[in-house]
Amino acid sequence: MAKTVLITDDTAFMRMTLKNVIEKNGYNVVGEAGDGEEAVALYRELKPDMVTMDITMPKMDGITAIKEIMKIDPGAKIIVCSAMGQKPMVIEALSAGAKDFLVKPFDAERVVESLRKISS
Amino acid sequence: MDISSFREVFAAEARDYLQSLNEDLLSFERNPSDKDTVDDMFRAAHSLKGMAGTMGFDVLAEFTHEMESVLDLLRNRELEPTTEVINALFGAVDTLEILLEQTISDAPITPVKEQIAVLEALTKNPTPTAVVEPVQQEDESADSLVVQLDEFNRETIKQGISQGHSAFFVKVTLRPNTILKSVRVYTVFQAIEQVATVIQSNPSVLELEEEKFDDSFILTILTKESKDSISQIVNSISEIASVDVSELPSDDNQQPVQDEVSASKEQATAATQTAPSPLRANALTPVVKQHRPEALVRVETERLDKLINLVGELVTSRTQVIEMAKGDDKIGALDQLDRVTTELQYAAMSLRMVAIKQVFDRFPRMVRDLAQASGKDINLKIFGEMTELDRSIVNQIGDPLVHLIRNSIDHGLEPSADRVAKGKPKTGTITLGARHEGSHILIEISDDGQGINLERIRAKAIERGLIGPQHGELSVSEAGELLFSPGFSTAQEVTDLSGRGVGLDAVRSVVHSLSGTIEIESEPGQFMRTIIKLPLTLAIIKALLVVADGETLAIPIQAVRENIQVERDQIKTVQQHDVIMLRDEVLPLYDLAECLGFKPLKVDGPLPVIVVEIRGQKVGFVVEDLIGQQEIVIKSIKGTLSDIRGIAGATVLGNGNIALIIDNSTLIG
Repeated sequence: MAKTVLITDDTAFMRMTLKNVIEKNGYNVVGEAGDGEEAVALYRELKPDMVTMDITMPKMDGITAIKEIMKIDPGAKIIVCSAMGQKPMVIEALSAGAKDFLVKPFDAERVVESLRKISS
Repeated sequence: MDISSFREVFAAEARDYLQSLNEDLLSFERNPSDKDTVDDMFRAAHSLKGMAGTMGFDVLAEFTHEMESVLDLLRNRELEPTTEVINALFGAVDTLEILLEQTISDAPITPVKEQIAVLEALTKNPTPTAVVEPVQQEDESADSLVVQLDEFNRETIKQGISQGHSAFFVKVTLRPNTILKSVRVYTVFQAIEQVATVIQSNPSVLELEEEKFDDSFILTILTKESKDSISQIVNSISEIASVDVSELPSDDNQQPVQDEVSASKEQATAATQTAPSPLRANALTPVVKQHRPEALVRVETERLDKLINLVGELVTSRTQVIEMAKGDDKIGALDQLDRVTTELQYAAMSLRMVAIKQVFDRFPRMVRDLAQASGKDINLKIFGEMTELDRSIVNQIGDPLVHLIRNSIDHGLEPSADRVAKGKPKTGTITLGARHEGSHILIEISDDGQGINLERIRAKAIERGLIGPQHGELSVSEAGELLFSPGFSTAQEVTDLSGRGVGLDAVRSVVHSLSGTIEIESEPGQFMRTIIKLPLTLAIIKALLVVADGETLAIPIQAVRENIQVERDQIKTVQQHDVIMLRDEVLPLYDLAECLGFKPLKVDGPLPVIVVEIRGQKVGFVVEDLIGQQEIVIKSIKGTLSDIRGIAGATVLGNGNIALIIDNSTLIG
């Protein structure tokens, strides 16, 4: 059965691009969240195999969301997605429990590699 | 990573470079044809520039660059080493010292335009002394990754292996064009540290963090996992081109592991493929270049203090345990504890010890400058500079020594013409030395100048009302005592260096605050010698424990001369004060409890009296009881209780009680 993914990003455009790449490569996008709060709620509801997490978002930022999700499920597999120049935040996200990171603009191969590696 | 910790390392190393620049300049001035010295100076300036640049200290880097340019001309013989040039370089070192301290302390930076102009003037109009030699470019190949383990890491690895761990080199190559390389490295560390301990990283973690590496790095790890499982773990990380785990070469012959691992930048095609081990194949190739072992380890004073504190607590609980076990036959086993803790105590104390060299090192330069300014010929001899003493004492003894040396130059040594007229060698000699004597260190400063003028001191002392006009001829020690009195100065004219009449008094109070003594020896017309005697350490002292008004008090043993029994009828009254006679000496007698504001002792029969020396004068203190000698750890008292007369601090005794430590210098008077 195809692995399930929850996409989190505050821009619809980025969610669309990511969803496109992810589904083309045989994964099943089960949900899309527009902010951290939504991501935490959807994680609880959908129990996806993996999560992509943007950092800068309204209501609840990605790092806080990662911490919340790790509380719910210490085994959660989260890939943090950052823009250029967010190095300290990426480190913070990784130490909060994110398993890998991607840097925008996304390279399709990198996205797939990341999903493959953290799901194995 | 905390950048402030690098600042400390930077500052310490930069100071070392400045010190060696000073020393090299002194020796270069004596021997301008020595090319090695100039090369050394150039390298020192170059390294300093690089360090300052790395830290982002631009003013410092820029100024060092100017100095480097001058040194470059000197070493290529495009500039003649005239006194003007040498003075300019000395001046540049001074400027650098100021800039460094301002930079380190985040103080405003003094503009250095003028100083730069001085250096630039030299580089713009150089007077060549020889044909221009081509500048050699040092080109270090950045293509090889070298793993060298130091003594400490090798020991760690040895211990790890003996506890069933395996030691591996893990060479990780990132894919070219990896974004946020340092963060990727972080994920590798994160993954590896789940199952292993990283002993060393080449390049260093700092360089990795600053992305100062190509695509590869090597971690030396200790782990209980297998080679395959380590490589699997690393391979499960994104953007890894290759990972290569190999065993450390065996180290049977106790030789330092110096292995060059050439990390060819081959790009693996498949991300998950483990390449056959090029690392292993080259792992045993020894590096030709022998690295000088690090002779010194820099340790933060704060950590040392913590260690000393812990050891202090250990010593205390040792005493507690011994007291508990008294009368029991377990005492034999406790002897071991006693021995070990004592050794540990000395080992820990030794960490605090530093050579007095770091203080002495500044004097050759100072004497050179003062000699030049005063027009006197002076030769400075130094001995015993490797003598060690407590770090905190070293930090405070510098200024007093500066005063004493300036005094020797200003008032001691005669002008060259006078010396020749007296039949003395034209060049005056100042000797600065240190040596151990028991649990003390003696520092002496002597000069072969005119010695102390007893008559002039007597006249001055009478004029100042320090002694009566009927006072007869002074002895040398009386004269010394007067010289160190507040407000006494015999300098005929006030120079900018000394003679303000506060110097020697200040010297004595610093020495006293370090629980030391200061003495003068002199032969008028021949020499003057000042001897400073200091304890080796201030953290743990021997003390005599006594009881006064029910309280246990500790008197530092160095001041205690003896303890005696005094019968009531031996106490006499002179000018309404109690005194006793001790071997033809009249000693003022005080009640220790009363001095501290406790209830005075009221008992019949003989009184125990402790004879203590205070500022050269013996004084008797009546106490209730004597407990005995003990080593105590001094803890300072902070806050509102910090400045109580007669109390120097407190200590925790073996039985857990607290005893106040007597400060005999402020107890009476």
